[in-house]
Amino acid sequence: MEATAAPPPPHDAPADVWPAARAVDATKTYGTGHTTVVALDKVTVDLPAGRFTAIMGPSGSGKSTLMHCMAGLDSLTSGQVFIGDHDLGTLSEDQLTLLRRDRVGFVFQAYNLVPTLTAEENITLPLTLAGRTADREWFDTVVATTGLADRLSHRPSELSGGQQQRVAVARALASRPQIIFADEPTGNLDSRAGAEILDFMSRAVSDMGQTIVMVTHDPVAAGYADAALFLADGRIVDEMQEPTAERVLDRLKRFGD
Amino acid sequence: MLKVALRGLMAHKSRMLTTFLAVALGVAFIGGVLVLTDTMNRAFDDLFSNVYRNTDAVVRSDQKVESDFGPEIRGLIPQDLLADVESARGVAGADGNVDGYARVIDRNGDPVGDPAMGAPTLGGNWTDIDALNPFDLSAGKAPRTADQIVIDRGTAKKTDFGVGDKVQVQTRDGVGTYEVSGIARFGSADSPGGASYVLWTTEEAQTLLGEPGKFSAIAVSGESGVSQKELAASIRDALPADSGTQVVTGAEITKETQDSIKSSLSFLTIFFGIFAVIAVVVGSFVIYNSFSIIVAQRTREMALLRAVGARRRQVRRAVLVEAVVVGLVGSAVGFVVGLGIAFLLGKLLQLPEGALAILPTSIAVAVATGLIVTVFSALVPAWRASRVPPLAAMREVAVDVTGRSRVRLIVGTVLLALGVAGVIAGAFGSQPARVGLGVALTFLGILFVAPKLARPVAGALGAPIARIRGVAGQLARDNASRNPRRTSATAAALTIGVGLVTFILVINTSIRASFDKTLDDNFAGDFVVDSGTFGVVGLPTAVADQIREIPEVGLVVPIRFAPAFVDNDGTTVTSSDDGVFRLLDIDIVRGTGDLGPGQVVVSEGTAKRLHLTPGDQVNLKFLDDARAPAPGESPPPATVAGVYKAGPTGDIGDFVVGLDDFDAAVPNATDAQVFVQLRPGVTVAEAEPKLDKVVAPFATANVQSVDEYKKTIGNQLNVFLVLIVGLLGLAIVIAMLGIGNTIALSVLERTRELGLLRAVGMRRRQLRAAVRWESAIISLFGTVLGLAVGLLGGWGIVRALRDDGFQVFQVPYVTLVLVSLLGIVVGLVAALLPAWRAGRMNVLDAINTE
Repeated sequence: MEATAAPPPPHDAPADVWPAARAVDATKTYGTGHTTVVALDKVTVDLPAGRFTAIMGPSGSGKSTLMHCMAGLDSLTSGQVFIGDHDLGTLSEDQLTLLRRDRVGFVFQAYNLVPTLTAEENITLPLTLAGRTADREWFDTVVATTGLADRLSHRPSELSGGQQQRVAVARALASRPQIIFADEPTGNLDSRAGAEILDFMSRAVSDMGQTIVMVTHDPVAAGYADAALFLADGRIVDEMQEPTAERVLDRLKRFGD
Repeated sequence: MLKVALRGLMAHKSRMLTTFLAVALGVAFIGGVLVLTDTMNRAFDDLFSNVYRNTDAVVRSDQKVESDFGPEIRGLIPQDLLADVESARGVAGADGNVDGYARVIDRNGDPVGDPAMGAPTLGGNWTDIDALNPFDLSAGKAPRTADQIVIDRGTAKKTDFGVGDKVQVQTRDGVGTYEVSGIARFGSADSPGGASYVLWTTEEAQTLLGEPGKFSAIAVSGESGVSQKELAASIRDALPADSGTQVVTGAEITKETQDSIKSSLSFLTIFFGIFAVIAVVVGSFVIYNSFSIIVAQRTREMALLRAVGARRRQVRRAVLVEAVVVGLVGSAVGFVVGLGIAFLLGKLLQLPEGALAILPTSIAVAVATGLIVTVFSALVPAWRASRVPPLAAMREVAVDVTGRSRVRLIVGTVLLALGVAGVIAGAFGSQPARVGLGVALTFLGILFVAPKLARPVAGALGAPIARIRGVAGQLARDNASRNPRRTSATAAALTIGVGLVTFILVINTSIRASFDKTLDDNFAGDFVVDSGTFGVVGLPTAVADQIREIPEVGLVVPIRFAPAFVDNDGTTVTSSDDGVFRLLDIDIVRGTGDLGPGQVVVSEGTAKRLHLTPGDQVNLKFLDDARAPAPGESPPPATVAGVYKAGPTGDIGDFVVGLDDFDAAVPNATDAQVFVQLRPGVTVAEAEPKLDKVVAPFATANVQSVDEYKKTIGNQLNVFLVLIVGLLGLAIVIAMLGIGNTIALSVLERTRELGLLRAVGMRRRQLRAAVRWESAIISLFGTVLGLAVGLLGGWGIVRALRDDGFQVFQVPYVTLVLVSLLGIVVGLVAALLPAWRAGRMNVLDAINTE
């Protein structure tokens, strides 16, 4: 099975009709016997297309593991994860790579860019890896939205932290993936640069119809999302529509109880 | 701190592996050469101690000529002296020795052994006095009649000849058939140092190898209780005053022979030693580079140490301790491997049997070399480590700031300019030594400038790869120019190897082209007849005489040499026909080229040195000159007829005399070569079968048309070429290890970046290709620099030696293109393992590494 078929353009897909990604009884354990640690405990979740979903939870709650497994970077111990209708567990290593390349976008907390490539080359990296050329119009839209037009020939070392993260987001958008996973995308930024990125991501969802899943422990960041999932001890314990920073903070405080 | 250093080493064992291998390989070669030399020396010491075990004195001629090649040549002594010696007080037994050249012809009609490239093929007389005979019969019996011989067991085994077989043997006069009466061992060996031996009765040996009634020497064993010195003195007293002999003791002759063998073998030590040194130098680059990278990668660790209070000196020492450990372990392992190399080379060189001679000094020298090279190579990285500011602990990974230093660029450019100027000056000034110095400076300059060059050159070399291999190629190119210092230091190791290979290839091609041109332009002959041994072994003069009888042949010009004295100075005198000057396009610049009786033509250099002009007289006396009225007396002096100027065909010797004079003085001469010119209108194809037929009975003679001769010389040169390039292969393997090492360390350093690439969709094979091509670009960078230096040096030497036979500078383009391709392959192969490991890494772990 090849995962190279062009994904349906996300902005044409009717929101809430089908999930962009799905986990069914997703379980991930580390170690065996007495030392077994359960990172994910039969998590079943739909990540709806065209939405900005935040995954929240204290450290050790399994939120990063969930994201890694759903993004095809890590494998489950049992259960299934789907991107679109592809069951990741049935894919070979190379097929997973191609799936990540063609259908998934990534924004990491830090070290998002290849230092030897310019901003433009970084943005188009997944496309170049696939041997494709960027759709110029779309590329220009993404660049204009991210305000990187005058930074395209710079290398990462010549960009500020905020600019680097914007390049990372632009890269995630450039190939119009089915879903973008962002792992603490503002974790290394000051609040102003962080706000810029979050604002930009939420516009990508609302204006461009992109699907974004963001792992964060920052209530302010979660406030930008359409929905927030709360994880604790490897289970989804709560879900919140149209979260605000205050409501998220309140909810998080109750984890301490 | 010592603990920290050792822990560091243990933690980074795998990073040190290639460093360790580089040390070990270099030391293995050095150790191997040293042990081989000692083993050879001891083997031959033992051999000759054994040969002369019962020889207490030797009587020999006091006339000798030092030769440019090989050992000194001594005159013969009259057989009659044997009676005088035997009559001396204290003599238990004495017998004359006869020796010369003999070559067994095998069952296929091919001569056994190759005196040009291997052990000599010798003949001698069988001595019935057991004490004086180094040979022991292992089968059959001693030769009793003129048609019987004893051969050494080595030759017997090789040819499958046994007692009773009829065997053909070629000597200076031609081929004779003899019956093997016995097979003998030489002490404990089947043959003396791989040489082949044929032993006749004394009388027959004198006829075939020496002169009737003459011995080369008389060996004497003394009665018990008589010291060697007393014996020698008593023999001296018993000999006539004017016998022209000297008497040496057994101990002296043993020592003399051992020393002479050692000095003739020393070229082997030097030859292999050069390659060992090259390997060590290349290894030092690898070691330096590896320590530099490791230090750079551990900047934070070093800074942390400094932050918690380690002094600069302590940090420096920590790095050096690692170097000492790696150096010691690498050297120790290397030396053991070296023993294997010595053993194999010993087999290859057919050394007499015996254990390897492992002397404490060899161990000390080899291990010390490995240790010193490792520690010295680590000095700069250690110093750099100590300069890490404590604050670096808080910063991101170190940045490569090289390539930004102006001083470095200026120094490098100056060295480069001086070097190239030196090469040019040496080339046009005919001073090869200056060319060598210029090349060394150029290389040094390149080392300084290379970090500056790395980015643009790697970019340019990588451009086609980036085009062909897409994003993997682009990343490869960018990564190759990312750490210019690292790239250039890694490439430098290969530059040395490729530079030397290029140099040798250019020289080889130029020699061949020059040689071909000389034959085409300056050689008027149609055939060259020789024994295919660089003239080491001569042809019977009958060959030339018989060729002369062929009607199609116009001119036959033999060239023969013999040791002689000119005004009491030992030298080699050439003899030929007048036609030699015309045939070889040699100009007579003064006087005439008349080689009539009593006349001699001298070279321009000799005329200058001895202030000779035509008409002058010189005392020219051959060793054992048959024209001399009595031993010690001189034949009539010769008159200088003319002075010749060596042309492109080269020098034919300092003194040239006519064949009649030569043959009168040297009764058993052989020809080194015979040049043949056909009558006008006769084609080479018509004449060749007739020549072949005439020469066929002389097994060692080769008839070659000019074209065939070109090929023969080319093939002989190729043997050396293959040997040298093969030995330089070691340097290239070490450089390859270095490239693999750099790539492996770089991959490790970029774990996170590679993880990111994989996360966003780079396939394993794309990543592997990127790593491999990065390596290939670095390798190609080193190859290109090597080609440049090698071509420069090759051109310089060829131009400088224009008047010494290198008229043509020719570049072997095709071969050099192959060398470049090899450079790429070396890079690709070096990166196989690092690329495989990079592909295997876990994406998530890679992204999350610190």
